[in-house]
Amino acid sequence: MKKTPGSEGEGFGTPEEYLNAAKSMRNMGEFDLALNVCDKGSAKFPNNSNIYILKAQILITKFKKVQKPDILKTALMALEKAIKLNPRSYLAKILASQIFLKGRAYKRARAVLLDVLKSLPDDEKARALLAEAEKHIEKKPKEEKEKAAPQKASSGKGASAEPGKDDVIVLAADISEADGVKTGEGGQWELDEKLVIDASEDTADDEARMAVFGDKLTMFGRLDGMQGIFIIDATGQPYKVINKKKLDENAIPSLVFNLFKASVAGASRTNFGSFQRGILVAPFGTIIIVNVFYATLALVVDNDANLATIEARIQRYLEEVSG
Amino acid sequence: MSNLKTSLRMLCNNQDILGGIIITKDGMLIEAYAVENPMAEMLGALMSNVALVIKTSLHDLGHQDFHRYVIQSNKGRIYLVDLGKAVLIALTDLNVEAGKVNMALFQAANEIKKSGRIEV
Repeated sequence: MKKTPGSEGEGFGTPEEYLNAAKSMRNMGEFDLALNVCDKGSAKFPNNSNIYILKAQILITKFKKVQKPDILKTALMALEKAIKLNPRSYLAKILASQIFLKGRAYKRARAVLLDVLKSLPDDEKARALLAEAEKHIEKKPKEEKEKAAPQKASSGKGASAEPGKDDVIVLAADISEADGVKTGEGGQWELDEKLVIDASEDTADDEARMAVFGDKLTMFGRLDGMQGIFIIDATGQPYKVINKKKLDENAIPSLVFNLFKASVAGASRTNFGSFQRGILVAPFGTIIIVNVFYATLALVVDNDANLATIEARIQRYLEEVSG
Repeated sequence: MSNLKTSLRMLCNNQDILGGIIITKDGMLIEAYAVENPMAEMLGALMSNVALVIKTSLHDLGHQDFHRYVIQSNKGRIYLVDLGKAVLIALTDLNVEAGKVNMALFQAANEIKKSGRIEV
């Protein structure tokens, strides 16, 4: 039987165990339990951005069932924390931008999306969402824009809505009518009913597949020079991490996911076919990125590690997970 | 630019290397050898995205530069070598001797740096 956190006052040992337990509960429809697991996880691992992102995903799913706008505000606050901890998190920014679009805070959505496109200029999802945001921004009468501008300057709010800033500040609690947000009775957001937020959830099938990918990771554990092993799902969230050298568990998965996306686009658009591996030789070590289909495997090894031995092990891993 | 062209030509004299280009960090094509336009421009633009992802992520980890990055697809390999303010890119077939290619790229990168045509 699976261990559940909190009952014995002990909890899980790694952030991924909290993530996977919360995902299982969410997939069973137990949203409050799943959120409880996330809260326990973030209390134990306060610097792990992925737990906040999952919490936001669960809240978005819950919102779809109960349709209370305040749930989206809470999700946005969780994403704000995630982005603060991991400024390169693609998923956190994409989710935040969709919540802004849903809440009609189009300029804030645009600012977040422009930030995504600074690192991933070809990202189709970000481009499509940006087009949606700009469509609504252009719709606003010019006079209204001019009227709103001095208000923003004097209040000092809404600075994050300006494109081209280095850091995206989400400021969930700070959204006001100056952002174009309409609020109804009790200050609740009036949401765009047509827009559906894609919470980028994994299904039970994905979960089963990831479990297989995760279970086989131990075959890399004893290789000489191994610093860390990450299996990352299709949304960029780490599913399982074996971290031997205290590698940054926020920055490395984001680097791997963003580099994977850029490499896939680079290979296919230059007629180089489908991406299989990426090998980054950096000052702290070599990162080997492997396309496992539905997931990405990343191995961080010392720069003097034997790549031929590692490649042979990767081949064996791929055979076992696909067989 | 002739020094850069010469360095690229010497690099591409290696039988494993199909072609090479040098781009600025923002994807502007500086020099190309054995890669025709518009492919060279397209490759430059796409690989500058890749280099940008690497540089911004490494910056978060407290590092400025990477040594090299290799994209392996089912058709071949694309090598990126960090020259500081520029990036050297080389294309190879799939089944090449990685050690030989790395050595040729290392030599070419040093030649390009020595030429002084790119501030590194």
